[in-house]
Amino acid sequence: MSDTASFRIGGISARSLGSALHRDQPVRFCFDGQPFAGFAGDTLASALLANGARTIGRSFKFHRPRGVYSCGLEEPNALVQLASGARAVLSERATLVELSDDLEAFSHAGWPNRHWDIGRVLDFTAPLWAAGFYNKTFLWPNWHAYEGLVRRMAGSGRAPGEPDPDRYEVCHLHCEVLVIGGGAAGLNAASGAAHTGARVVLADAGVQLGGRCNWDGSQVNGVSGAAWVPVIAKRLAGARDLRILRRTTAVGHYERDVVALLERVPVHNAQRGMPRERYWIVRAEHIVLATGAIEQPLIFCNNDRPGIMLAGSAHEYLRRYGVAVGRRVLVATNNDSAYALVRDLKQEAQVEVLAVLDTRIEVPRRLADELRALAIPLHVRSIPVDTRGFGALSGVSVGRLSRDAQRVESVQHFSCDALAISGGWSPALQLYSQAGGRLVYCEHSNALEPVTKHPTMTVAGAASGDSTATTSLLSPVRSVGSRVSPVGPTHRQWVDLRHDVTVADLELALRENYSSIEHVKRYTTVGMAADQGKTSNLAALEIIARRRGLKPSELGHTTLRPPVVPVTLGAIAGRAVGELFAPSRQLPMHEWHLAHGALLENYGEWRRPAVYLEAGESRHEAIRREAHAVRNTAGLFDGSALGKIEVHGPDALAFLDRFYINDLTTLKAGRVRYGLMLRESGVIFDDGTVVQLAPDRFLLTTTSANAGRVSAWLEEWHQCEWPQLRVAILPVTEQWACLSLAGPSAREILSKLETNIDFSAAAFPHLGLREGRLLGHPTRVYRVSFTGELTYEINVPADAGPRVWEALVDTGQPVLKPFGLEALLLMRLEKGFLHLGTDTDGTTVPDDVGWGEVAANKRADFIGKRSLLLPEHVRPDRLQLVGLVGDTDIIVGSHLRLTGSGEITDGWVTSAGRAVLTGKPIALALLRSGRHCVGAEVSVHDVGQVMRARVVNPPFLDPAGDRMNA
Amino acid sequence: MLRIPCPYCGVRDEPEFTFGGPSHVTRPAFAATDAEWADYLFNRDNPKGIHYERWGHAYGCGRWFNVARHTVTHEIVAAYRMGEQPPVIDQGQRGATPTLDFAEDREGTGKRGAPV
Repeated sequence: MSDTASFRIGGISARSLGSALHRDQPVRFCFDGQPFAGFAGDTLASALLANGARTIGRSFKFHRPRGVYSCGLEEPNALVQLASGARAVLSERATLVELSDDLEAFSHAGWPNRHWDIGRVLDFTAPLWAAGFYNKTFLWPNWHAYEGLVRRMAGSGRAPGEPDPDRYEVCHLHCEVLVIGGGAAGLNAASGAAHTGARVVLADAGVQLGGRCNWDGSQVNGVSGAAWVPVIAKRLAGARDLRILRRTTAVGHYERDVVALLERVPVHNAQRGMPRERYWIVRAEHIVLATGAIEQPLIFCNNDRPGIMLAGSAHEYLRRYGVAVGRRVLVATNNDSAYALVRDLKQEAQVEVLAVLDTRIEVPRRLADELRALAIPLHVRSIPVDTRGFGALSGVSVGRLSRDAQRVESVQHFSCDALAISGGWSPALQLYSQAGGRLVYCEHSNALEPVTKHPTMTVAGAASGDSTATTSLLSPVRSVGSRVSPVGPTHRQWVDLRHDVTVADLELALRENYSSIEHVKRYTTVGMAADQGKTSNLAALEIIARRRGLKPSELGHTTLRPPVVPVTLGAIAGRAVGELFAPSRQLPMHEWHLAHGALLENYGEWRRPAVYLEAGESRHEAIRREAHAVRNTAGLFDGSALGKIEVHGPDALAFLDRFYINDLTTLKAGRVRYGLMLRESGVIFDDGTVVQLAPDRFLLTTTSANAGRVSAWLEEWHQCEWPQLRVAILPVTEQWACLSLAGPSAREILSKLETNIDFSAAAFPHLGLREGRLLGHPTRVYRVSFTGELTYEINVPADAGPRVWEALVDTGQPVLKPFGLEALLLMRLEKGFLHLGTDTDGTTVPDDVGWGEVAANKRADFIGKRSLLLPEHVRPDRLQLVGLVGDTDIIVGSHLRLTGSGEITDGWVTSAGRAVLTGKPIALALLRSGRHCVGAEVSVHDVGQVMRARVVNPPFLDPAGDRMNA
Repeated sequence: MLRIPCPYCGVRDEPEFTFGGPSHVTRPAFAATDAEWADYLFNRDNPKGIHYERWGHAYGCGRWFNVARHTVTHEIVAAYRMGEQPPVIDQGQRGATPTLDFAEDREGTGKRGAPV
């Protein structure tokens, strides 16, 4: 297969052909390692065609050779890989790739190469691979055994394994009018809208505004399109508020007129640090859809060979890129639009056109006269029935249709190297359908056209199907009769080129009783490829309808969904990748933690020290060392992530009392009460403390994870349920740094700092709060304990946190060491203190964790109170929190079985570890009727292993709380 | 993505808001049967048509308010303040742009009742 013949039209004709090219700027590029030449302004497809490269890739299923089929985003065949390594982009349509120097592209499939592909054997055994074959084969032992092989054979390229080095951006726009499509209709609409002073956004998928009218020789407002475009572009440039996005495709319409646009930045710019793609999210008040129409093919045997191309695309290659699709060209059509190609090939490019085949019974007189003048034979009632060629096209068999187009009366053969086909035009209405607009099959144009008037979307130009509108450049496109050749065999008639679906596959689906169009689509995968059936859905619709004896308009159509073209995941992510993927919150003492060996991990949004590693320590060793230090001397913990909320107002107490299971009315000033908040269903929502700073000022703490949720919860109930209560809810989590000083030596160390607070045991007992000054800073100090040791939670303004922390560390030398979250959780486990979300889940109620009496004793109503009386919440066999001791390590998540139990499981282990001072394995678990089983033995099941444990009452250390109350 | 008309801030994107379920749900009295209470907790109407619901402008002004939204077309036909009664809406109404309709501010009744 020679790839070096030239199909570029040069010489005198070069003046009128190749309007997109800059012939003074030659460009070198590589395809499959072979060097080629082109011009600036070329696409990869046009340059390859100019160089005579026929076979661009292999088809998906049968590995048949395939070439360029179209000139736009509907391209189903010429899919290539751009670049290699981390920058590789797969399945890029060669028709959209702008040529640049040193561009590297590769065909997808074909082993050893795209010309000689061993995969072709699938084509020779085609009947085995009919639609749905994978539902009937590859069943033993299971389909995954074949998955790897099937994936390799599919030939969609290998995705890069390295992170994507390119940048992407997500941008937002608000406008009054969004015009999608910058052809004649779109430019007119944008100009009209801008003239009214509205804010307008115009998005066009092309490199140059104007679309077809730049090159197809038609007239707009009495002048040639090529002359008209610069005039209107100048008018637009003077608009008050108009943004023009080129190379930008509208990919999806979402509720209430939010439209997503994808802007492609030229490859060479992307390599200079600009984003490779931009994803624009546009909120429009009104949308004008001027997306034009997509040409449809004719269906006949072997209609997929390289050299067979859509006629309008062949015309565009000729006029825009100066490329002839072949040297001996045959044109087959069922409508008027292909005749412009014939004229230009013969007159402008001096390319031989063997004949024009038209499936209609008669063609308009002026077209017939024109062909006669050009000395090109016209065959009416004719359609291609088969093609020949090993690799690329070499000949076409043409059939003369009977009057009813159901049979072929005679067959004629032509030798040619190119066949341009036109089966009519289908308005590009994906966005209209996504917006809820209804489409109906119109018999006179054999296409889906919009039928309802959409409140906010206007369809203009060729997309509206109304070809008599002044803004449409396509002369009335009427196609009469079928697009489909009546001569089989149908398993060689391709409908969907991308997914290799043939007419026989559609017939098979109908035989197997998949008759609705949605079922046929899914069974055969027609229209399900990345091209979304832009050149196949319509033919499939027609074929299925006729086989079922229906009119296509009775069949409906498949649902069109975004995106209209494939969108890189990177474009949707924009800048929110890597470090920017999720917001990261830092503690006030963050710098100190980093400088002192902290292993920071993500706990929700917060970066918190899990452990502080000293030289040579493992994580495990560090945790034990830290916990030991706290139990024996003292440790310092950064608890600033803990939620803190102030509630002010005359009704603050009455308000808060409705949220907790605890009776807050007995709370005295300066006393801290630990309480539980429930959801209205009775399930535990959060735990924390409440303290009264003043009769009209309360301070709550919550779990770190729920800080935002609890303050939102309080707001919601206040605004929606009890707006008459006079309260203000003030989240202050970030305002205060919280330094937790824990251990037997805590008081001794703290007392050395300059303060006006009396920290002596008598003056400041456990579960108290004192306000005052510490090192000159305002401070609130809690005596609460999550570790089970004497603990002071020192709150100072966040900015003062680092200074106070360092002062404590200095004062506490050498015994005072920092400890992280892992050591904290181990120590709280020993004490049996609740860790919400670990020891509780979405079904746990207060009684399950030992707080049932407190809730029952509260006379006043609170959120969840009624639900605690539901039968489900008073069942005797509920899972209850207990402790477990064992001889070997107990694994979290292990399931428990009581002796003689008939249940599959009696509960599971929620937290586990080794007791700090004794090293013995301990755990907390939710066990069926747990409180009645204290002392019993249970079996502990973990992935096939079984061990024994004994049920005990937590805590495992200091049940009287002497250490805490010191 | 919905575009929701906050009565305080104007039309904003859906991700700025928290959804709060249906509006005007009446809580049964504490003395209600278990079946009535469970029905209140877990069962909700799912109309095909206009649905009155609560939205909170979590990433904006923080206010809760009510919205009348058509559950099929997702058109928001009205938005009104918390505590107000819904405006009179023709079930077949199709508004092209969201309207902000406020009923007369009757003293807050008919919203979710306060606990006993």
